[in-house]
Amino acid sequence: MRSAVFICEILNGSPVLPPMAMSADSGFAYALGAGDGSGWVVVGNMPQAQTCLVRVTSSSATIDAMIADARFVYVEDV
Amino acid sequence: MDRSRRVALLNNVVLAPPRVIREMIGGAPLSSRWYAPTWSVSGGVLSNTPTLGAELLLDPGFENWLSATNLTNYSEYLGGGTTTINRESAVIRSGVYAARCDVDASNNKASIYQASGGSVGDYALFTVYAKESLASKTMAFEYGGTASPGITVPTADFSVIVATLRATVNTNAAFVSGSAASSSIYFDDASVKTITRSTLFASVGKLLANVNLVAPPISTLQTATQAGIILRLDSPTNPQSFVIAYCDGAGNVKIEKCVSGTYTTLSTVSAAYGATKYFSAKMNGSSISIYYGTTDFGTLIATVTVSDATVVNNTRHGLFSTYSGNQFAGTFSVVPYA
Repeated sequence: MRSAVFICEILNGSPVLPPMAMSADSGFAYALGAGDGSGWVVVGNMPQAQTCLVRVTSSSATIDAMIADARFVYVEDV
Repeated sequence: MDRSRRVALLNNVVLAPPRVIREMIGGAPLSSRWYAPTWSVSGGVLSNTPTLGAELLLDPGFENWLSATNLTNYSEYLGGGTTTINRESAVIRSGVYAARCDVDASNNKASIYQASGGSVGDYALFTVYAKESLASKTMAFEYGGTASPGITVPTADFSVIVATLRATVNTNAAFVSGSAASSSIYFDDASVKTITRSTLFASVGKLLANVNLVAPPISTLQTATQAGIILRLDSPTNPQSFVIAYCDGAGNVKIEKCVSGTYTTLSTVSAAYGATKYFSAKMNGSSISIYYGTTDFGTLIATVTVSDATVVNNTRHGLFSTYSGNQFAGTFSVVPYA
């Protein structure tokens, strides 16, 4: 498991993130994973920009995929 | 000590609201400190049967068709390939017709949906009688941007499939093929009913805002329904501001806040449901830590920050369940934060 902080958009009351399990409609080609402990938590809000800081915990490959995804701004590993 | 001082002290002891609670859940009816009109104890467990509104679907039996492939009162979404939605007159549960989704080998999705009369932010109880042509295939429900997990559909006969969902974007209610490649799924006698928000919760007031809470284990959790705890509830009869932490019926624990009626998801963490696992929480000011495991404060799910003025000082806490099949049994305790 690896954790990193990202900036991401908020839409309809929730950060726009890869789903925990794959969904054909999610728009993401990858999932955060179903292993216990993977997931995300909001650690800061920037409501003026409709964005938030999110700490994501997942596999290293998924974190790398998020770093490469233009929808997220990578901040740092934690 | 003079008499007036003794009387004042005695009054304080007798009249001051109790700030702690420790109660065995399931062995007896909830004590009078709870506001829980739809919750009941039977067979050693506590469960909730929330109040439902009127039927939201027009033509819940899928009886009205414009043609052999187009329902009158529903819209259709087809994911492509050769997946189709069809009027079915042979394999039915009641009435004259059912709806049949023939899913192609590439598992292109079929969805039958209708703009229901619910409201964004409301939970709704979805049911449908479904039957599959092949074993181990699944279906799902969707409600305004929220999808249920895939639910296995039996092949032997029509069986009722259940989910509770909260609408997040709109109130389109959908019945969807799941993992169902090269099979037919039959839908008949559906229902979508809004759940009255105040009947989702059982809560105790006059506690403290900053507390350590331990909830009883959720001994039974129906897939695709939700159960957990509610924290810092403003009003039991008109809930508008609070925090909930719950098993989402899809293998995750979610933490959400509701501020003046608007929900925000604060955390989603994969955590397998277990019949002996239970929620515990530590709340101190704007910091709320949620745990879900087999020990008190043992397995941290996440620590979230909730500083909203309508939430942070509320002193009412309790349990949350969207479905009558979810059960609690064990100790519920709330003590001052430590």
